[in-house]
Amino acid sequence: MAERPQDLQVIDAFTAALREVDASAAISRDLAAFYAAHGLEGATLTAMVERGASRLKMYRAMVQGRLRRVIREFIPRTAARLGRPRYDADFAAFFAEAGSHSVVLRDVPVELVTWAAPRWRADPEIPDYLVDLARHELVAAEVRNAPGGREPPTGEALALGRPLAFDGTTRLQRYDHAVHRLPQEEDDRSEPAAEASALLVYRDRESYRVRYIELTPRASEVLARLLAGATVVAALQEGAAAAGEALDDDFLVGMTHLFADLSERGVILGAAVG
Amino acid sequence: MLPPPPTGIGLGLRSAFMAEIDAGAADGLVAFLELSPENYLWRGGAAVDQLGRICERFPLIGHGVAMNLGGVDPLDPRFFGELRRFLDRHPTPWYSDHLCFCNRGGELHDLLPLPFTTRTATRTAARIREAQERLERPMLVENVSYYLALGESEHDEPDFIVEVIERADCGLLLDVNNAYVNAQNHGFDPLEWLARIPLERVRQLHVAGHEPWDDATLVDTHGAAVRDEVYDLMAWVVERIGPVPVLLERDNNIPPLADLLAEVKALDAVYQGALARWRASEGQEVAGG
Repeated sequence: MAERPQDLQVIDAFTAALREVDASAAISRDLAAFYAAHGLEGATLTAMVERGASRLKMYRAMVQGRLRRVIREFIPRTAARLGRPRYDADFAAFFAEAGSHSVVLRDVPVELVTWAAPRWRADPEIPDYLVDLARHELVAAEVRNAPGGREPPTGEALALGRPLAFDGTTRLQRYDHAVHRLPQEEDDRSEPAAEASALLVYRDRESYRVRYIELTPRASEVLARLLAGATVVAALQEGAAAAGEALDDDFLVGMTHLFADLSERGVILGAAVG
Repeated sequence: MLPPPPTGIGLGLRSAFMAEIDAGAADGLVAFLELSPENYLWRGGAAVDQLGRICERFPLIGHGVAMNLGGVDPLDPRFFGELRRFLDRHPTPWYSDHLCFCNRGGELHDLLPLPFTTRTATRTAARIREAQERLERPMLVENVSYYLALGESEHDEPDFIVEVIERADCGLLLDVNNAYVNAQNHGFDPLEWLARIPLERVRQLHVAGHEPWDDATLVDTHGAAVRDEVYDLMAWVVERIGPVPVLLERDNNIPPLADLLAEVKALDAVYQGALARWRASEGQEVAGG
């Protein structure tokens, strides 16, 4: 194998100092050994060792500190409930093992939660509801910044045999815990009810505010299918069956009211065209 | 067709005061706005709609942080495609990014130093040319604050910058605060540093504030008012090159917009003084001749 140029090797060693979980301790222990372990040698190694460890550590603190702050801004209550030591440790592990692969800074919190969710679910020290809370905090930014929205009404009346068109910011969120009812305060530690919950989340067409509508089981089953592109009749039939309800007058009246409310809010734009 | 470059003092557009700018609070008070497209890519909502209105009223300059021009991994085609579409919708006279790397096996979301070697300069220049071709727009590169030189340097920073911009045949976005911060951190005279920069390549200036990290290190935080020493460096350049866009950057500890506009006004007074000296000297002859 051809020898790697030292200017590429030094970029990789520097990057390792920023990312690796144990880099800070290794640098403090023996800077030359750290660099040598990452392939530096000869004059490059000598030059880097002569420059010392303090500014290398400063870079690590700046890069990691900035990302930790950004993530905490997006999931403040999740981070607070994790506690500082665990939050910092999880961030460090995420940054070392997975890291960010989006040039968009606001994507980093999503990347962290995607990486952490299976680990938190498997960890008995982490509350069962924490992934739901993180997802609930993230959906606010997702909807606030979602492309689309404010699409014009289709001008087509709702029809049983056709799918519906929705405002482009609409999302259906399902949780195993009622995290949406938790207080907003970061120092609150009350626990949400272990209650399956569904929210329709969208961006208000006038104020740009993120709106949440708590859905009944029947409404969530029907809307999940409509958002996936099902026709109204299929969504009603399959939704009623999934909710364990009869497709009777009560069900249909309830859905009629829901569709009217969502049309009034500009969430349903009419029957889909094409 | 690309818009003509603005001149005078501009302000970096930030979410903290975007609604005020949208409402007209800076109308007639700044020569241009500079924005980072990464903040608006793959995005909708209030900020994007505000930007649509704002760019009807102000000249814009695009300045990114994510191109990874000094990096090793291939340029990201998805990012470049989206950036190009953004710049088609929001035309700017050029596009700039930093002489640094910010991705190595993943995004590091920071401006990280490069080895000052011919090999790195050659690779970076090729990537700048590739970026210009992908965007079909001229590129400027900005000198960064670096706190640690990487590897065994074949050049010092001015020689490295010259080698990159000449190989890439691109313009320079000269950040005089970065020059000042580097001078303090690495122990050189910023005016001697500036004297080695090919000023004919300079298309735009950045000024910003900095703060101490510790007793030995200043950091380009964009978190404080611009220091007098940085005003002086800006003036030194303007009186030699004439009218250019000069951008006030503020990203942290952002004060009320009125305070930033007052800082723009103070910068403009220094800028106009430098411009008068430029006109009184060779600049007038060049402009008239």
